[in-house]
Amino acid sequence: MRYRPWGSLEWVLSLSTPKTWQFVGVLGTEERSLCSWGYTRQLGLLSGQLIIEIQDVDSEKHRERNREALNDRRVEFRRQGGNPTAIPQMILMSELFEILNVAQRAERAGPSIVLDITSFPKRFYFPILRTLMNSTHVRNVVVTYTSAASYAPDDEHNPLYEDVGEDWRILPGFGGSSPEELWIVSIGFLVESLRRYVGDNPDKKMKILVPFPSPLAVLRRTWESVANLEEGHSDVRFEKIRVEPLDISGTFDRILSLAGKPEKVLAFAPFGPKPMSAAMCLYAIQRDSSIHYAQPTVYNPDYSIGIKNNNPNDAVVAYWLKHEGESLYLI
Amino acid sequence: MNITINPFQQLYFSDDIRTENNFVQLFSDEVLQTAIHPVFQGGNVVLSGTQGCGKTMILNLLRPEIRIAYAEANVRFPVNEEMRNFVSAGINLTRSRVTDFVQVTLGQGDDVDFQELPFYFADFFNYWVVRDLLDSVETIGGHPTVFESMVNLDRTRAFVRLMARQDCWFGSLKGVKTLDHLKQRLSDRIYRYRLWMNGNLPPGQLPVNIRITKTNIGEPIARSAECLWESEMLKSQIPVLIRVDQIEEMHRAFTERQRKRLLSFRKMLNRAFAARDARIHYRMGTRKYGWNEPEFLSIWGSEARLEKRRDYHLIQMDEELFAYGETKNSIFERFAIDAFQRRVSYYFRHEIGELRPDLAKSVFGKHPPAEGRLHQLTLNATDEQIDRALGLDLAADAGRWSEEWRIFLRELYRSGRSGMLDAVLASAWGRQTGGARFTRQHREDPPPENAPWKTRKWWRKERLDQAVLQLTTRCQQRFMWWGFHDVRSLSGGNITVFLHICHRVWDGFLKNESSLPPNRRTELLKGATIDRNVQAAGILFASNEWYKKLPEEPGGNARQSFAEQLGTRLNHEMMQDLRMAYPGGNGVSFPLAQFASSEDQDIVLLRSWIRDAVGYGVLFETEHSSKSKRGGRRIKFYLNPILCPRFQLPEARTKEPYYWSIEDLFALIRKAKVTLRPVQLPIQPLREEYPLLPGFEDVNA
Repeated sequence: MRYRPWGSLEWVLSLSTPKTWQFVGVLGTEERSLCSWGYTRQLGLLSGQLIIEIQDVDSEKHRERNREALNDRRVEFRRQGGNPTAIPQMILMSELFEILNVAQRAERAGPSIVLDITSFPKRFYFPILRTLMNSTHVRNVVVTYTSAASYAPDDEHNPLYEDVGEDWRILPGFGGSSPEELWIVSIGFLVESLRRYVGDNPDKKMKILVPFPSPLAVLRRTWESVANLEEGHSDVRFEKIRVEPLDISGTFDRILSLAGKPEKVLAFAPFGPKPMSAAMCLYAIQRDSSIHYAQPTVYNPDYSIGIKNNNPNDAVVAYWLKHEGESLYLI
Repeated sequence: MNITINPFQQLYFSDDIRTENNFVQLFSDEVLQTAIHPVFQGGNVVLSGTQGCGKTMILNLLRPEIRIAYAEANVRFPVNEEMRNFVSAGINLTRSRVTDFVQVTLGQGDDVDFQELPFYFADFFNYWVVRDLLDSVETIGGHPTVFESMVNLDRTRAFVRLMARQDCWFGSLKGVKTLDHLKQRLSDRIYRYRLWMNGNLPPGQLPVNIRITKTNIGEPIARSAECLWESEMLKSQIPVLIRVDQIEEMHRAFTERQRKRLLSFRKMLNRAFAARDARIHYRMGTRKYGWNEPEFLSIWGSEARLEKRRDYHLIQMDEELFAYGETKNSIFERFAIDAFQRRVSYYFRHEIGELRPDLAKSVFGKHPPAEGRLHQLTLNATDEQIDRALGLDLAADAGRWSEEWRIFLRELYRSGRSGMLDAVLASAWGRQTGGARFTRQHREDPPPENAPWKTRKWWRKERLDQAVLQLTTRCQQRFMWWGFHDVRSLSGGNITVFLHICHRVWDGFLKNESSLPPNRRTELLKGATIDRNVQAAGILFASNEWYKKLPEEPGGNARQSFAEQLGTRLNHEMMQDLRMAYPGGNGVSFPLAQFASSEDQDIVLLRSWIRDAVGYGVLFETEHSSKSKRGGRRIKFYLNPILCPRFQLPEARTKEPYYWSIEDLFALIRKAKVTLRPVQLPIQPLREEYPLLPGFEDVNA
């Protein structure tokens, strides 16, 4: 086990020689989407930024609220000194080659990149993270994630996300190269497609990473998801493992130990909090593991509310992944 | 009996290809009656149906591993001897990820991608299927006790020599000497494609040896068949059947570019089907929405479309299994009974040995007559309670009941369960006029002595379910379903729904039993029946669960929302219909000409969305004639019967549905917030000509 610094952004960045950073992130509908950018900028450490706007598939239900929320973010972006007209837009279901185009642009902006995964969909930030970690040009990679103050209530008539656009499938670019021997699944709020997959593949055993501890409301919903997933299936199919939801390093180590020796071929289903997904990604890009996901195409524009403690120093967590060309997450 | 086992716990067995032994035990050959002759004979065959109707099970029957599993289990292979000599190979479009070609680019712009990518798709398809064909042939050859002398592995070298010489490969098999070498060459090609699809090759840098050796769709597969026969590795009369499953996978796009690309791949695939190559026969599996648009049938490089009967034989599984609204439903009934029997036998065979025949019928028992569904209502009701149960004082009814009628109806109600039913039917009859020509309602005269609500057989039969619904609802109870007939009817001809209901009812049964002492437990396997209340609760649970599962399918939230709006509305209207003038109001009907119009783009979008909902099994559709002579053909829609308990709608279709206009349907779609016409906001793309990264402006400027 090795030491991999993570914690408040200011502290994490202070661990290395001072440098300026290029910021890669997303302007989304959630308030927290710009928090890391604003904070990094406030610290005077930014030399440039690639902020993109990712548009969900249009929905009658959320069209107006989406427009309002995005406008609010653009106003905030301008207020903090950004230029919203320079933000390129992409659609959520963009093809892999379009996403790789973004990744290559980010890579060229190196050598030091802050990648904010807060509002980045997995189908985007996984290939970007792979490009940055594999790049010889990019010497330093810090990932940031901003916790929200709370999440919107999830109910039948107003779900947090809608219209899983695809059947359960491979995350573009992460098809893997060998048949999997062990499934590792992280659990959050989104389990419908996973539940269907579990039902369709009764022989698959799964290690479930459960985010714990978590705020009470999140905890309740997470365990509801676990219960939904397990319902109607034999207990022996699932082994539940509690993992601190913000701890990329701890999750990564847990994955290593689950892979065992000799190392099994792992497959991942990242349905949990983003930092846990990032740990899966860091493993998968080194072992060419397959990653499975069903992408929702419409998110509730008010998926999350505010930022934790209304304080960027508390809300933004930073993770040093690559330092002066050396990956801290090398297997 | 063991009260910890639910034999219906696991809904799907057929999708996991590694469960051959389960397949042998659980596959019901009753379903084969829908397809057996076309599937095992020449020509192309399409199996179309909703999820869980049995398509994949039938296609899996073609795999040699399944045949071997039958032999090892000493169970007769459910295909007669004349038809069982064939070789089959295939591709599952989802599992193979062949549609991931939408994710890549050749790096020369969209036009080149549209023109060129379908050929790479075709090449991948060919290599995949041929590799699978070789695996199948080897498997067959390695099991002579099962397949006799169908394959002669001693002829392998001759086969490989012939294969390497075929010009259809454009030299890509040059130098191949052994079967292993040949298979490795095929696998390497697929691996190269995987690298590309995973973004591990730079854009436009696909290896040149692939770019110059792309194969024509279908041809290498047909040549492989020829080589097998010519080399005598395969007996010359043995047909080669190629399975292509989950064709619907090719029609899930989120952008115009993806739609065009996928359509071009589909056209390429259709080119293989359209070739009507006598050397190979395709067996295609698709959900309905993969085969329901004319453009899906167009052929690459041609103005033509695939033609039914000429290019393929279409088997619509749902229609074959389920005659809409008919009470006679023999294939599905036998299928359901057999599937039930096999499940229970699979889990309890060690406990009981031979099971009673038709166990499903004894476990669920007889379904109730209409008055039997009223068992929850009390006979000792007050006048006020009866008036409320019959809706006599509803504002909508205008309070036009004479005291004589009220006393008559109350006495009738108190006379027993049948009397309750008669009372609610009599009150409906009292509100009717006897035809559109008349204005005077029957209740304006004293109650008749000939009780027409009893003696007019069809009038009564058509209204029984609505009467039960109104009565139970007004008494704060629920319409309840139980008995084998009800379970079969709610299954709508879909075996997965049937097994789902069985799962939930059996679950409820187990919970109930676990609280009882052993000597009071129900011996289901010896002819006992699950308590009606347990069944009713399990069926309602299954219905709610099915509804909640709708979002698990792509685009399912919108369909769920629509089902909610439609179900709620129909229930409301059936409850408000005090005269019971529309007892068939559990569905809606539209003029076919209006619904099928191609002139109005909104209707085209609406139709496409509704047909998708049919394809996903949320709605059932069927054409019918108008009740008026001048009305012409119409099309009617019902919710999937499994959703009826949730929305408290009778599932039987005994009468004309509500006649709606297309505008009514649009209004409902709007209310459900279904997005028929997505708005694409203007996109500011990443542009090549930016000297610096767009957005990487100087933050201190």
